[in-house]
Amino acid sequence: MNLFQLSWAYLRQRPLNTLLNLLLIGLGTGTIILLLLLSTQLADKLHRDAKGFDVVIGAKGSPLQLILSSIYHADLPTGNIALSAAEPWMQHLWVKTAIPLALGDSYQSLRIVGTTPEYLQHYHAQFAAGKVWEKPLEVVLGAQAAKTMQLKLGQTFSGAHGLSAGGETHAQAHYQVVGILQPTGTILDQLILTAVESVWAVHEHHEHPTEAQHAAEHELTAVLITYKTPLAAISFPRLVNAQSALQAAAPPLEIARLLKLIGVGAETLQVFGAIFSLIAFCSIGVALLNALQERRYDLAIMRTLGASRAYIFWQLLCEGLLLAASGVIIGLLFGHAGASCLGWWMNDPHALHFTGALWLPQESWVILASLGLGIAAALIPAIQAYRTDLARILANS
Amino acid sequence: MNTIGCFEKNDRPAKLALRSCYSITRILGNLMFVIDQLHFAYLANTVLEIPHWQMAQGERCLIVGASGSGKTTLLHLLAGLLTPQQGTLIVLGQDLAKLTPSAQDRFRGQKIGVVFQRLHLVAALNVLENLLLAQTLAQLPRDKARAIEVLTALNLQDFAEHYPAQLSQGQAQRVALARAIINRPQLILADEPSANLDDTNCSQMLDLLQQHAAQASLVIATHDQRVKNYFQGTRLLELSR
Repeated sequence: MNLFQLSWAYLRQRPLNTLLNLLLIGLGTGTIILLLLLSTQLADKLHRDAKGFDVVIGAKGSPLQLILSSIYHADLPTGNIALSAAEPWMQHLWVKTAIPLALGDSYQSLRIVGTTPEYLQHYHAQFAAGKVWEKPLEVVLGAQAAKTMQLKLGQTFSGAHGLSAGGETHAQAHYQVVGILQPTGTILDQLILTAVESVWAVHEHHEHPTEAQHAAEHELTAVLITYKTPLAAISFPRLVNAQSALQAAAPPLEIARLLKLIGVGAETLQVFGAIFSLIAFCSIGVALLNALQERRYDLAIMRTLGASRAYIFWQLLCEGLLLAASGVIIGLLFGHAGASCLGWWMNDPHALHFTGALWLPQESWVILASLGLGIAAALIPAIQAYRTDLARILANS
Repeated sequence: MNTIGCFEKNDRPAKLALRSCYSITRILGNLMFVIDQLHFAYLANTVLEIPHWQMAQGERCLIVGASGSGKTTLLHLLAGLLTPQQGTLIVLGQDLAKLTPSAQDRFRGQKIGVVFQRLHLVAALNVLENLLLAQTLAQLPRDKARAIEVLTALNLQDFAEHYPAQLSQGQAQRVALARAIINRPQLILADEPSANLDDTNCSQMLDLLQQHAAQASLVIATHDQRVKNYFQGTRLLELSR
């Protein structure tokens, strides 16, 4: 009969109350942990995809849309830009690398991205099979895209016009798979990659004769730029925005803006989680205080049997701690299982792959705070029990 | 002020002027307890005063008196649950007032068994766990075999897994007795052990007390005539208002 066994016996004695408190703490800490996991993974993913790109040049419009469409391939592009307009900036003194992107077609909702092999190198992509494209209409598949499309090397397919499913098929142009990438954990996994020229070829071939003269001028959707010097970050976007019809948007700024927007929602939910937990701990405190009233004879008898005041004090603290610890375990299970379920549920190529198989350092703080609150909740009852005049209780019995 | 007088019947001649616990320990090593010039005021205007009272190891004694005469208070003093305001109280050669509170608790847990008027079994624990708790709280090693032995002796072996709420009054009373004797106390204090018991259970209870307290000293506080009759001829300490 150690402290824990005794405390457990008391918790078992009022199962409904115990269950309610466990659920409350579990829900509270679980919500906090789930949101921690999701927001961390989201921020991680956003930063990983944008890593290394200092600025994105594209058509004028919403800078966030430009970033979302060109880096995350999650939104529609702001428009196309003329290659001739982009070229001066791509060869600018401050620019180290400039990777062109030409969007416009898709296959089974997977985007066909016209680019240069540097785009693959930027994400440190390795080939699982085949090699990089050498001539137009040869494509390399990202790992996830290859899985979704179930195509092998040498097989061909036709892209559909537009970035969402249901577009008109470019029946004349057949893309041929020449390479398949290993998973990189970035957006690259979900793309069909080809030369910029492929996209031009498909569309020039396809365009109506009246638009032929426009088609003669090659177009890009966006250019992903890395600076030679960090100093460029201050002036380069301003130069682009002021001196041309183009727009320059810095991914870090836009990500920060986006996370701030998401963060408001996540923080609100986390506050709810914290309130849940606080209510749960108040409830534990009240339950223990009530139990103290019922258990004053038990306390007296334990003192008679040789228990010191300190033992009685620890026994009640132990009960609070045991509840808090069990509640936190439920919360951890709930949070991690929730993140895994969400990852499984949102398992389509365009979604983030959330996982619960991840341990964040912040979770230790949630655990410590909960255990601390568990002790705090039991503290007042424990002090009261400590002060109990046992002879008076026994005399009144 | 309402003073309580103390009369001893069947008294023995030995009446020593005891001043220090050292001399007591030396001279009277075989005494269960010695009370000298004890004064304890409680409930504002009630005072328990005992000029002198002592008991040898293995002896039996009844504390009798009307309710409110201080029987329970005296038992609590003997158990070290209360500390005398004046005078000396030495149990098993130990001046309880000189022990630290936690040493008092340990002393009580290991040397003294208490049976209460109401049973006070811990409702959250089953019968066996109630007994094991008594071992833990007395800071004695966990000894399940001893617990089973005591339960068997009291014919409770089939109820080890039962919770107090599932026991009859008589069974619960026997469990309370089992808990009082499990640590082989040298002094057993019983406060109205026959209250709430019918005649059959009462005499069974007293039989068991008598039988299982064979090696221990036994002090019973009671105002129940059945108990007085049962222990006829036993030393009486009569408290009166």
